[in-house]
Amino acid sequence: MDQLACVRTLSLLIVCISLLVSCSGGGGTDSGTTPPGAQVNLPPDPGPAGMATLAGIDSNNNAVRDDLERYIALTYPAASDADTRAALTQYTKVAQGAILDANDPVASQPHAQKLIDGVECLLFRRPDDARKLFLELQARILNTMDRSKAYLMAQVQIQGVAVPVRDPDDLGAACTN
Amino acid sequence: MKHTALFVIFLLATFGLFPDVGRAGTLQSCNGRPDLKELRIYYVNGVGNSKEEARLSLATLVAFVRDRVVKPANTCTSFRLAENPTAGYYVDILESANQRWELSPEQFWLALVDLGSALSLSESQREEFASYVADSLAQRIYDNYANDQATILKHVALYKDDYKNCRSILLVAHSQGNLYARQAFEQSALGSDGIPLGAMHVVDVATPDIVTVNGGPYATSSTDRVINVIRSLINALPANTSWAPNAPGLLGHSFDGYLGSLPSGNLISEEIETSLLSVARTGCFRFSQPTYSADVSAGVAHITVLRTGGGDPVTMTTSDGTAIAGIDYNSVSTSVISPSTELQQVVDITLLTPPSNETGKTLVLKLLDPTSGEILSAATLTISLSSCLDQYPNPINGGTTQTTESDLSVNSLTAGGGIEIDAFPVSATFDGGNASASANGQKGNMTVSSHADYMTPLPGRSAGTSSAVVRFAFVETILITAPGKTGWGSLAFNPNVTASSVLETCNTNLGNGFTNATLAINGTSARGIGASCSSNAWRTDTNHLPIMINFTYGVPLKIKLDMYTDSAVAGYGPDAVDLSSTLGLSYNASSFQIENQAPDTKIQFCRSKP
Repeated sequence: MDQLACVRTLSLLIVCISLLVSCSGGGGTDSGTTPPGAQVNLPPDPGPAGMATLAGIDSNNNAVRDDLERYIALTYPAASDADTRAALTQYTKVAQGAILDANDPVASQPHAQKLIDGVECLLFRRPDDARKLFLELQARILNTMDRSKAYLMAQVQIQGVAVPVRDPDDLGAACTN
Repeated sequence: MKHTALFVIFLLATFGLFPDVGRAGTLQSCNGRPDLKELRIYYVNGVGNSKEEARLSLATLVAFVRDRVVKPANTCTSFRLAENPTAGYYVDILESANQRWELSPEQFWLALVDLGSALSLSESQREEFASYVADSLAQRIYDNYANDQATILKHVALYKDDYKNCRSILLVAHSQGNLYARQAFEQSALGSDGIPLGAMHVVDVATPDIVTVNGGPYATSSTDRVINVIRSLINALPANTSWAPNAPGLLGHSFDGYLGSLPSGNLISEEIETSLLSVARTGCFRFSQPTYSADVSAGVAHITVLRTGGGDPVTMTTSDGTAIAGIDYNSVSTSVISPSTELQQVVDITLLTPPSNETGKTLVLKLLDPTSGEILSAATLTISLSSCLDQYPNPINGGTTQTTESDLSVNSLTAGGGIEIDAFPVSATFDGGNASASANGQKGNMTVSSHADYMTPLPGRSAGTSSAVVRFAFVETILITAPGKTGWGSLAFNPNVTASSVLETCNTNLGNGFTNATLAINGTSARGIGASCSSNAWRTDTNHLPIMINFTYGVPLKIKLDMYTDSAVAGYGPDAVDLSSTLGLSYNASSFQIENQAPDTKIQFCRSKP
């Protein structure tokens, strides 16, 4: 290999590495750095402590569990994902409220409409892949046996609540932020 | 030439001149389009779906109908969720997954929707897990729906309301939702407000049922593990489609998978398309309101029939209720709304004057399918018989008009002439009901030539002394009472009437002779209908029939109790009683008129009901 060929190979390698690095941001890994577009001040990873209770840890008191706040921010870090993060956060807050109120039939009722609002907002913001985003987020929300059971109980509590669905043209009204 | 034709087609397409067929890829909203036939599509979810999952599946159906289904012409689509509230059944499965396959809850939820099959399960474990879930769901599908009549009734109410509002209905049901859909469909056909078979269809997707709804279409994949389990237990419908090879999905059962996989998706799109075409073909004919009312005095009842959608004209008929054709109304049997472009038609029903005074008679209006005779819509017409028939003429006009303007001045009578009327019942309510009047009227002698004859002398009353011609509509007596009131009010006369000009025998007995009534003339003198006028003998005259005056008003009225009026005698104007300030009095008079301060007030002289 002559020198020119060596330089070309090296340059190509550098470009490939750069591309790989630049493309790795959406993988949901926690690099410890603040990705572009995501929330600037993410709470620390709560680790196993975050799974010890039904409520989990919400160190910055924004009604979103720290682990979920990090999941949303790190999975959808781009500036263009701001609406997606907002929709997922909207649903996360409502789902968490439903989980915490699961044993209270009265307190559970208002969550029915808000849960649907959360889904419809996501449908508005991500019409093509809302279902996938929802199911992936839901799995994180229900990441303990207690939370899963509480969520299922919450669904039982609201199963008699008739929630109107919005027409396709009106889905945007479901978003609260 | 060919290019010209193509150009014309291009122009037609560009400017929307082709029939308004709902092309795949578009979705016509019903908002603000009452001219379009509304197709309401419901998604009936399967067992175990959360509210959110059911909503997401509905969104999938919306996109599917938008992108893959050709909608019928002149229709719009709207979507709703007929929720099968069987969420919460995953607790056992969740625990088993954790114990048997060591799936964490997070892994369980991902594995359940096949988003995380690679997380920890080997291929054989995944297969084992899938079999377990399929068995569990298959068991639950039949365990948990049978007694959920409450939900089915809710769905029936939704569907009937849609039909009542002229929507055609398509249910797209998934899995256990098919069992709900079939029951709801069957119950929706029941009752007087039942939905005709043609107006509602069901497309079964992944049905565990042994029959389809009304023999309709279905789509069950040969690789649907849940339905296959069920089929091994009962005689569930055979598979008639499949998913694409290697299509993702733990169980081959998800609604999204059915729509998204090509063989099954194609079948379902065809079935939805066919069903929409069928239900859209059913025109919707409705009466504009469930109940109508009309007064026989109007002579006719106007009935409006509304139409949306296509289809042949229907037959509107009348049938007797308590009203009898030929006596109370003329029966109708007519075809309505022929041209498809018309959206409404008014049908007149002639009302007849019945021989009796019975009011509130009803007849039944029906819109019938001309072929099957099926009732498409029904309504009732109530015929009211206001007490204003021409059997008792207006005393002024002597004719047949019962509703008059407020001025019933006797001056409108022909000078020197007179009319004779029969006595008729009159009642009046004044001042918001605080005061009321009832009167005994009698046949009046209207052919008079002098004051001496100004009225038929009543017991205890004397004729006047004027020689002027007077005209009276009729002779009557009035008793005005004010229930709940205490004391007596004053009777104010027309300012033009002075005590000296009042020619009435009873004038000689002014004062409080009559049950403490104080009557003022011009505020300076008073007169009363005193005991010297032989008291109340006239009121007990059996020839005096009750008189009823019904009128509506928005402001306090003045009632003028005309002792007489005489155009030839200056100053003889109508006397008036302002009932707005009357607390209670008794008075007899030769005639009266009602003077209303509200220009739009109508006064009716009516006969009373028996």
